[in-house]
Order: sequence, then structure tokens, then C-alpha cells
Amino acid sequence: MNQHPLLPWTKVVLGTSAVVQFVFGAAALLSSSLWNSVFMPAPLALSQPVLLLQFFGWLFLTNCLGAAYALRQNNWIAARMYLAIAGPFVAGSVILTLLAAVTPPGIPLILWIYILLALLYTPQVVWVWRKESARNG
Amino acid sequence: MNSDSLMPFTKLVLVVSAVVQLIFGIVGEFFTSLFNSFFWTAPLTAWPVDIAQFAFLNYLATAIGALYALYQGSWHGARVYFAFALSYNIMGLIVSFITAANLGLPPIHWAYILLALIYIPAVVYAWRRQERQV
Repeated sequence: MNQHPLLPWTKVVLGTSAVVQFVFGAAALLSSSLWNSVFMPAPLALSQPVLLLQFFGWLFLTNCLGAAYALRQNNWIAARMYLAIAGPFVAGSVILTLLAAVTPPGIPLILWIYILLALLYTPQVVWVWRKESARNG
Repeated sequence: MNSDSLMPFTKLVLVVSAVVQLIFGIVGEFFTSLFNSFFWTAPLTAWPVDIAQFAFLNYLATAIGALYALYQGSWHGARVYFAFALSYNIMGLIVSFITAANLGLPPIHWAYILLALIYIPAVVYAWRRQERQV
């Protein structure tokens, strides 16, 4: 396989993935009150105790590291490895969130914003996958 | 052998990664009460179902990642997976030791620590061997 450098838009998708996951990971690790009041507020159950949030936070941060490492390698083989994790996770999260939305007591407003972001993100993953695959053979 | 292809030991580490994450992902995602009664027991607080679903979806996605790395058969791809898996296991170990010192851990959690202590050197070994080959 040819090893072309990544397309600029692929880099944007990877960069966005890294930043978003860093924000979520840092919030989960640094402030459980911020996490439970802003990122995952009522009517969702509280994310506690702190240990649970720490595992959750590190999961996000190490995924952020994966995205950053793929970006640093700057080739499609590495990037698609990361996107093979991120794509199914984001698509699955949308399904789970929609299921939660139709199940009482429903979901908070911010989760609708996550859904909107995920619905913007997932087609970008599909688009860069197709473009890079066509380019790299 | 192509310098980018995976060595048998690297493939084994990826298979173990995928299987372990699939087990945790499936049980945590679809059988949360079983997870809370067997995989994550007192003195740890149980995972709320809705939070568990998001967290363990990530385990399922990373299991797909490990399988995809295996399918690609390329070290350039696999090391992205290992960069995630290695750092997550190291952080998991640190958090577990801090919790053990403060709250205590259930016996099964010590088994996870043992597995992580086997897994981390295996990843480092695979990484070093593959890098020498490139």
C-alpha cells in the first residue's frame, strides 16, 4: 500500500476527535460536580463514585492519545485504525442516546447537542474513509 | 516477511486484547447487573446502567479496533491500538492501586491487576520486537 500523507480534512477529523475526547476526559477526571451537572446532568443517574469517573475519564484521555498518535504518524493505515474505534463508538452512542431519549425519564438537553455533534461527525468519518481508501489503494 | 507485517506474538497480544474487551464490553453493556455482582463488587459502588452503557460501548469499540488491527496485519496500524491499550492499562493500574490504598478492592480486582501486570510487559515486548523489524 502507498503511504500518502493524510488529507487535510482527515487531519481535521482526527484533531477534532482528540480535542473532544480530551475535554470529556479532563472534565471527568478533574471535577465530578462539573461532570454530573453539565456533561451528564439529571435525569441521568449520577456518575459516581470517583473511581468510576476516573476509569471513564482515562478511557476518554487514552482514546485522545490514540487520535493524537494517529495524527502524528500521518498515514492512512494508522488513521483508519483509530477511526475503526471512533466510528462504531460514536454511531453506537447515538443509538443508545436515542433509546434513552424515548425511555422515561428521557435525556437532558445537552445530550441532544451530543447527538447533533455525532450526526455531524459520523458522516465525516465515512467521507474521509472513502476518500483516503480510494487514494491509498 | 514484510517489515510492516505483524509477528505471531503481536497477533496473540491483539487476540487476547480483543477477547478480554469483548467479554467486558458484552457483560457491561448487556448484563450490567451481572457486571456489578461479579466483575465489579463491593466495596466498589455499582455502575449505574445508563453510564455503564456508554462506558462499555467504548470497550466494544476498542475490541473492534483490536480485531481490525489484526485484520490489517500492519504494525503501523497496530501500534495506534497499542498506544491506547498500553496507556489505558497503565492508568487503570495506577487508579486501582490508589483505590486499594484508600477504599480497598474486591478480590477479583486483584486478578485484573495481575492480568494488567502480565499484559503491559507483553505489549512493550511486542512493540520493541516490531520496531526492531521495521
